Amino acid sequence: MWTMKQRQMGWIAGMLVAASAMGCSSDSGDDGGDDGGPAEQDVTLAFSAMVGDVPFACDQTYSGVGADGAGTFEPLDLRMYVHSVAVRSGGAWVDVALTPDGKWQSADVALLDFEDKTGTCENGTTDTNFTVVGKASFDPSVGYDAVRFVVGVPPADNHQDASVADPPLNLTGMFWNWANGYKFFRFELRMANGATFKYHLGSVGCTASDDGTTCTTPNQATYELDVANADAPIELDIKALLAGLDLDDSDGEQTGDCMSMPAHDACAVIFGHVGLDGSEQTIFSTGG
Amino acid sequence: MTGLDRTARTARRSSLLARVAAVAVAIVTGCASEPSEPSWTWDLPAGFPTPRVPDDNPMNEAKVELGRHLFYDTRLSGNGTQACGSCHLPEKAFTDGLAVSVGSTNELTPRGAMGLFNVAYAPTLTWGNPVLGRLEDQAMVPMFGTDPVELGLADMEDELLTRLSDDPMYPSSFAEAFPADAAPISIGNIVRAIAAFERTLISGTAPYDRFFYGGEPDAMSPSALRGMELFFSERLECFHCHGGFNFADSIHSRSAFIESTFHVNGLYNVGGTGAYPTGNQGIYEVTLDEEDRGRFKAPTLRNITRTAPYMHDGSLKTLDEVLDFYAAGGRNVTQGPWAGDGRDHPHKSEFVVGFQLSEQERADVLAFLEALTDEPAMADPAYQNPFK
Repeated sequence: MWTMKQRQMGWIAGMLVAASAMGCSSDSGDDGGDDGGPAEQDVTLAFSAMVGDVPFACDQTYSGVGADGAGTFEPLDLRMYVHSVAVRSGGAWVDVALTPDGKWQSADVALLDFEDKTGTCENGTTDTNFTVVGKASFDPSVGYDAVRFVVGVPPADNHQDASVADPPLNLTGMFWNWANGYKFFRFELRMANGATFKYHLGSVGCTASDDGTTCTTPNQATYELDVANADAPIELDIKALLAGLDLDDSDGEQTGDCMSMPAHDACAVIFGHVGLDGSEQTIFSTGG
Repeated sequence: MTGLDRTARTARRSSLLARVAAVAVAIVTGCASEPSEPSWTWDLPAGFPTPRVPDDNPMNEAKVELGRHLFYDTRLSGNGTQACGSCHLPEKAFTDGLAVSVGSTNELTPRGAMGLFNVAYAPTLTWGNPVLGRLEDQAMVPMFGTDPVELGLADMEDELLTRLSDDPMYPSSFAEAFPADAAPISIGNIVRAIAAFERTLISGTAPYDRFFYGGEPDAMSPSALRGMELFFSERLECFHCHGGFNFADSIHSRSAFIESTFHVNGLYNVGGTGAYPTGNQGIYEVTLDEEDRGRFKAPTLRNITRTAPYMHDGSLKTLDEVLDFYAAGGRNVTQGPWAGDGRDHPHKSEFVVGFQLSEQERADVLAFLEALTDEPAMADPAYQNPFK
């Protein structure tokens, strides 16, 4: 029985975490460094996307979702950025320095991509990525018993010139140029009658000044999950994401899109599930 | 497609106020290993300041010409059916004559295509977006946007670059436009070239300009001159939001300050709450500030006779209707989901107070607006679709 804990933190807090204790990130040795501190360990966080008990796949049709379990859908897209990754070892949080790979990860942010451009996922990319890879310094005999990450893009990266951004922030499908940022989380589906529902999460309420862009509604939630088995994936449950939404299109009426605006009806529902309104999040869990 | 054939320009250019012309100047740097950056000279109408150009996208002639091709090239849409120029037609002052535009996959945009003349001076772009200030960034909205899909290029960046790389002309065009770049065909350079072209879209040779700066006392009719008096009067108040050389209230050039303002003109006031139609509430969509509901940018009035229908949603069909609207101090929507009296909008601009016009005065104001119509600019060969 694993408890889940999730706190919504401001991005500032996330950035402070990310900025701290990184002094060893350039120390690639496994000898624990000069001070005899804990050795740097490889950390791989595996993610899996589910729709309830069924794995997410682009060639599947899912039913029993949304309000009253009355909705049916085909997926069109599922991707998200994560950053400020940390693990808890011996009661202390240790930052995970992401390993840049020129594709899915920079030192700042990683892209998880669950769509493979097959089936109904006509947009997107054929490549997929289910893992976040990095290094963290902790005692391997102790291991870690919790993970923490933010779904989003670090603000310092979010408002950059996307046209010349480095991977993984050069993927045009995640561009969100009208908002001078990126889509942090992109999920789209099509209902039986052809109507679509889109969930695009990004920072809104933004204003630009000489000091850069700041946003009243950054929409970056921090997730903290207890881990019993480090080899078990972190599950993202789309059924939990969609809970309570009117996805039953048989009456010709269904929910409108959630485009990151707290005032959108669908966002009011989803923001509870993802923990952006102060609620306990329900979309991520750790198995084992 | 290399090289802009400036000599092909009409004689008008040399006899009137020339607008933009480029002169490539070879710079001898003495450093053979580094390609020199071609220079650019603005040739602007009288009274026009030098446009602000981003440091990372200096103007050059080859880049502008490349940008013109990209602007009109339908390979810049996912399904090959549309280009920027599909919704920004030079003969309509780079609008499309529609209330809202239709994207490459038939999705509708929430607002009408804005004119692009003198867009180099706009501190913010589109009808209302305080965080969208660079044309390079704006170009990516129609290219990669997904809500709605416009050009439909999201996730197709590799395909797009392949299309251009396989073209017989583009590789050399990009190389010429970006001489310091080892791999010049890139998303970044595509939007830079388009933005560079857009910065050359200058309109400053309308009858109004010829009258004041061109030594042509007959360029404006007596009626148009009377209309100008009315336009700049405290009675009509038009000039507060449509002022300056560009008849717009937000201008940037090389001044130290970028001023950008957004106004409620009383088009809507849903249920008396100050709301505008859902999803189309001006800069509120970006700022989420309740006070910003209904705040939009005042567009330039240059070439306004060619950009019907009017307002962000095209809900006023003619300039006559626009004059009726401002004469009434706003619009009372009496039925439907957006019913409400825009005249009583809580944040309505203090300059939209209403006025009365005689028939002659109305004709005079319309004649003045007609005098802002720049036929030579709209017909300028340098602005036209090279694929036609």
